Amino acid sequence: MQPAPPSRRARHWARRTHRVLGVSSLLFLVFISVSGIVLNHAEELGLSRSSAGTWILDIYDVPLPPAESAYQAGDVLFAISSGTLYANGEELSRVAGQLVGAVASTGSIVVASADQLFVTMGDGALLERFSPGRSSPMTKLGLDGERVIVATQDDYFEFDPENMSLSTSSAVDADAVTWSLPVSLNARQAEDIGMAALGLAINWERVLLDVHSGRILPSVGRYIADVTALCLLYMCVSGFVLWTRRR
Amino acid sequence: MPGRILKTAIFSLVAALLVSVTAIAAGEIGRYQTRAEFLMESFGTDEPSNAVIWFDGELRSAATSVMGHPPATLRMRYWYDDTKTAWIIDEIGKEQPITFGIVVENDKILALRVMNFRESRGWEIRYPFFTQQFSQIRLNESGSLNRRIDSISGATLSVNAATKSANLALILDEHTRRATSTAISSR
Repeated sequence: MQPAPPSRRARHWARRTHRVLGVSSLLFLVFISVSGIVLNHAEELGLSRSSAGTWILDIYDVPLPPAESAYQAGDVLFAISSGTLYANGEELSRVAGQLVGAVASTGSIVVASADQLFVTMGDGALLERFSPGRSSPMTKLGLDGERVIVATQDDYFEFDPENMSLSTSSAVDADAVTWSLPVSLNARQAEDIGMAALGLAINWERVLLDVHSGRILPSVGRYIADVTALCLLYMCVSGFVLWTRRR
Repeated sequence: MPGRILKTAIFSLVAALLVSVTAIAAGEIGRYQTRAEFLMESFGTDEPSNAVIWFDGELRSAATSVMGHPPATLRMRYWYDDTKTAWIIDEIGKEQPITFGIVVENDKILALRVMNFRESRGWEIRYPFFTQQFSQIRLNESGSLNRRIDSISGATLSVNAATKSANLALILDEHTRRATSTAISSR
């Protein structure tokens, strides 16, 4: 029997590899296509606002973000981590700057950051927030009897949580005010807040993007994606060559 | 000749880059209007009557549907006189809340202001060429804005935040007026 001519052997080999690679990359192609379509509509689907959950954080193996400042008022621990305010580990609001205090005041709790005031229920549920818009940032929050006092670098103000208003208060004896003081978190509290902050940072859009690009597997993921992309390139070329030969 | 063209092209590119970098470095992040200034502009006084509206039941569902997430607070304060209501709404653009001041009169938006912008991109929405698009806009039968808002390239998320806030303000205004008329008719 005569051996097949080299060009025929090459064509046979190309057809065979094209078929094998085509079938074996089928699942991958479907996944890439679907994940690409979903990523394209991530905003409408709210993926960037949806935390990926703690189980997936283990895969990322990144250090927990620290709580940058924390204050206790009543039974609620308020802390800021990565620009988000938490009450007992539950996300309350995005916030710019650091916390400056938290005080319990007649059925509610007042929390202050450098440029915002928050009023919560006794259990930490957020009632209202208020940006006073003063040029000088708030530096301290305290109680003078029933009155909630806010200090800036230049002045003292009285905050009315009922009307969410801030008025200049001339009759403030700074020494008579019980200023809210920061607290240190124990290991468990720090871990709870760190996990919550990491959960917000690593949302479903991020996870899907990392899976789509192969970065979810830190050492080999990129190379798997590279090899698959090369296979697809090969299929494009071999498919085109086989098609032109047939014509 | 080609050398001159190349030089001009490089010069233009460098100039454009410098202008862009300066605009970013100048930080369009900022506080453009305080609450008192917004209320003074809207009502002629910085202490108009105010009340709160609670996000419960049907209103919470409507707000969630418009914003794409549940309201961050349990209640919202608003200011009013005989014809107008004013709302201060915080909505996240990409990562940080943008504070909008929105005035509603006769079921239509009278003015929308960007009071505080904390994002690093998308600050163009504070300019009148964008905010004027909301003037006289109202709700259609399905509870959405009755006119399309033109987006700004590179500021899509900020534009979305403004559009959703305007929609929410109109829904809240409608709710308060309906509640007021129900209270009056039941007396």
